Amino acid sequence: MKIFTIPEEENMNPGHVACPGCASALSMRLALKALGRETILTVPACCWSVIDGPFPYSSVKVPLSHIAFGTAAAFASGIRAALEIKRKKANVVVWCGDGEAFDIGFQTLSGAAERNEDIIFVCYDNEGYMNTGVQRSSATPIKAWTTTTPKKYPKQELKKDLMEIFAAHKIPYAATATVAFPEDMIKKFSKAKEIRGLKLIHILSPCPSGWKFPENLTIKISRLAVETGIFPLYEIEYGEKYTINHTPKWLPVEDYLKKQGRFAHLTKKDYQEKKEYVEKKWLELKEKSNRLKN
Amino acid sequence: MKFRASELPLTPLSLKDTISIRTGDWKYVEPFYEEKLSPCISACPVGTDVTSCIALLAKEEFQEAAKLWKESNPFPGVCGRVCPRFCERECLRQHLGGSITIHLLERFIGDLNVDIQNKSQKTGKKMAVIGSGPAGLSCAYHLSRKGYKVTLFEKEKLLGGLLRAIPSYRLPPQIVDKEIEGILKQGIDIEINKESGKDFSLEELKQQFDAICIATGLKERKLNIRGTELFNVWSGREFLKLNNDIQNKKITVIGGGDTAIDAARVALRKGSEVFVFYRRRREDMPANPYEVEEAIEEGVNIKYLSEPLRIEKCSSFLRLFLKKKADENSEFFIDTDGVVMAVGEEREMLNNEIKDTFLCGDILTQKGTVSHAIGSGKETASLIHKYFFGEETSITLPAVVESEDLNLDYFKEEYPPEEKKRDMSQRIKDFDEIYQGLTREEVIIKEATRCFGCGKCSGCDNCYVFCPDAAIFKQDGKYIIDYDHCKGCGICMEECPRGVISMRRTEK
Ligand SMILES: Cc1cc2nc3c(=O)[nH]c(=O)nc-3n(C[C@H](O)[C@H](O)[C@H](O)COP(=O)(O)OP(=O)(O)OC[C@H]3O[C@@H](n4cnc5c(N)ncnc54)[C@H](O)[C@@H]3O)c2cc1C
Ligand code: SF4
Repeated sequence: MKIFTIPEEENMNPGHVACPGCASALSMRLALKALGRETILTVPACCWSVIDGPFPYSSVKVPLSHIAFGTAAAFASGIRAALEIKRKKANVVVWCGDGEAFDIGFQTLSGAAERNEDIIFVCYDNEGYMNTGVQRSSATPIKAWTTTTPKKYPKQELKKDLMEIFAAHKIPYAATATVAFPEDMIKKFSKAKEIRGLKLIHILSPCPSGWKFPENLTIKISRLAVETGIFPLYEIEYGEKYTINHTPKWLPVEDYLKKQGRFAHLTKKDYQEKKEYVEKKWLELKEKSNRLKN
Repeated sequence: MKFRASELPLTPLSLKDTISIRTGDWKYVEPFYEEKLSPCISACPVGTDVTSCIALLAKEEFQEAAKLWKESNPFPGVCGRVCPRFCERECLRQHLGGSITIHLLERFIGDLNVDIQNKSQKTGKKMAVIGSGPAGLSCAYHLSRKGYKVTLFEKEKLLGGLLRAIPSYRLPPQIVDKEIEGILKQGIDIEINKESGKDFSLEELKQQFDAICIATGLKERKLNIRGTELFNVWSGREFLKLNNDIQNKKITVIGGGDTAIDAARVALRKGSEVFVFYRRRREDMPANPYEVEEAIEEGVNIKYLSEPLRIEKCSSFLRLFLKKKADENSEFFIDTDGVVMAVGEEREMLNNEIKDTFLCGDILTQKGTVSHAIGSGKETASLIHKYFFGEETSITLPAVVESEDLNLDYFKEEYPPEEKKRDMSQRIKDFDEIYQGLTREEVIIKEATRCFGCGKCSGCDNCYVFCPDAAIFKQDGKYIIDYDHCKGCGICMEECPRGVISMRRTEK
């Protein structure tokens, strides 16, 4: 009895050097199953610069360019232009961490979105600069510990709302996904493949080393993020049509937070605030999804 | 090696895959597939493969389920009704909606009346089994299915031992008849009305048989007080065998086991007012708690912490004297028309010095349940087989699944169906069965599909789906771990719904 059915085609080799239990490695594996071999990956500085393998090795069975930080969307736009000149087809995909998408490559991404470049921009969001030693990013959630936001002074700012920012860019497709829902993730990649213009896929990518949880719990944490309502699964088309893909079980937010060392210092009050914030965001989302049905 | 700059490519290109990078060397623990014993199987005194049988029921493969069940236990109809359900106490479903009502599934399997064939090769050995209670019958059944020629000796004229003492409102005699018939069909000879020690001796038997198995059960314990010889004072088993009417009488039962409660409920059904005196507390009663509850519901009066002292004959009735436990000055009495003494069983001293003699059932284990007797009969049959042919019958038992091994995220909270039960006002008037079992639909749709299948791989693919290292692949319907690349993260172990994957230290 299968629980999830995913394509058998394997477009990623073992031997990549992600940390044990890394969700971004699994995300790539699942994404490539949906995207297939006709895919060109662009990877700016991020964990995946390392994960793919040391020179002269690469773990993915498709072309992958390692490029400078902050340039991913611009580089991918160039690849698309080159393909068009050569009249060739391929999925042009940016594969980057939250450092690129939320902070350093934000400008090129915004530009590419404004030009509606025909690329799939994937951010595997591990909520911080993990491979340089767990520094805060604008994707780090409020109250979280990182090495630059120590326990005594945890992060004070809310996580940047990437989905809303790009809804405002009116891109044809934006979706959230995470590894505990592999079929949902694959469906979204398959859908993105068929749409012309800029597609944003925002993947929540639990990171055992940076979030401080045992590496066997990656999927559990990912599932809890969704089932507590902290990370809802939804899609936005043209910045207008919102579709919620999964109704959370509304497990207590503590279930998610308490499993991670980066939230170990949180108090009852923090949990309460988190809960209220999650509920508020959910109502907003719900309201938007009701606004334009079909 | 030296290169000139012009020989190098403009950009460095990685043209090799990562398969040669042995990331598997990083790990210090590694997963491995290890199907485990479900707690229900491990708790079952017969060791029936409950989990596989339930899986077959869920697939509507009823015949197969019944055959598999009967391979270990030829009494599903009986056990489904009277076993104290050791399995259900351990069932891991209790953490998510309530234990699987395994006894109802077993009862359903029993009531299908599926015969199984004996395809064994003859061993040429002749066996005598003395006593046809559940233990003797089970031993004879398993021996004959191993190819022995078995003769069963029973001192009574009916086979079944104490199964015949259990009242029909709990266990209709047709069920016992039917299942015994199935056992005899394995090719067992029977000698009824033959009592060992009276009609024949063990030494005589030894002349004709290669080995003997004694399954004569336990004797009733006698109460050591004055007045037990009086008229209308019975032992539990004597009372249960009585055929007379005891309308509008007052019956007093001493004891707290199955026999006491059954005697009380039988007396009640025969139209008497019933009192039970037990020397300890309610929670200490060896009888099934739900049966005690039902007895009370039906109107049986139970008094605890009361010890009997003596019975005296008064004109037309008996006077039973008792005292409160641990209080010498608390003597009191009750006037009654009859006293039933159901104070347990004891082992008879036995001369089993004779060579090639084995024991099984209550006489060996003193466990006092039907399923333990069946399990013991089965075990002794294996022992005998090992004795003659040295075949290894027991392999190292796999680990038992614990609740932490399961991943309950993959199961929904679901509740067991309610079994139909005859109305109180009706059931106390006759001896018809109280419980009605489950319907076919309830079995397949509700109960069987609710079973987690603890410890058994169902081919759900989770391990394959979630491996971040693409280090689990499928081959011929099996999952294979690529240990050269598995980093030992343990995600597969965690996400396996049924606890099939374990972790072990790597050998370094
Ligand atoms: C009233 C009552 C209710 C019970 N209810 C339950 C219940 O709900 N659930 C449960 O699990 N258990 C119950 N039990 C207990 C259960 O019946 C016994 O534990 C079980 O039957 C023991 O099986 P056995 O084969 O070892 O012995 P027995 O069933 O006692 O069988 C022994 C057989 O050997 C025969 N025998 C004895 N001596 C000789 C001899 N010298 N020569 C030839 N044959 C001989 C006897 O006639 C008998 O047939 C109940 C018992 C009683 C009395
Ligand atoms: S859920 Fe099924 S396999 Fe697990 S203990 Fe209960 S009956 Fe046995």
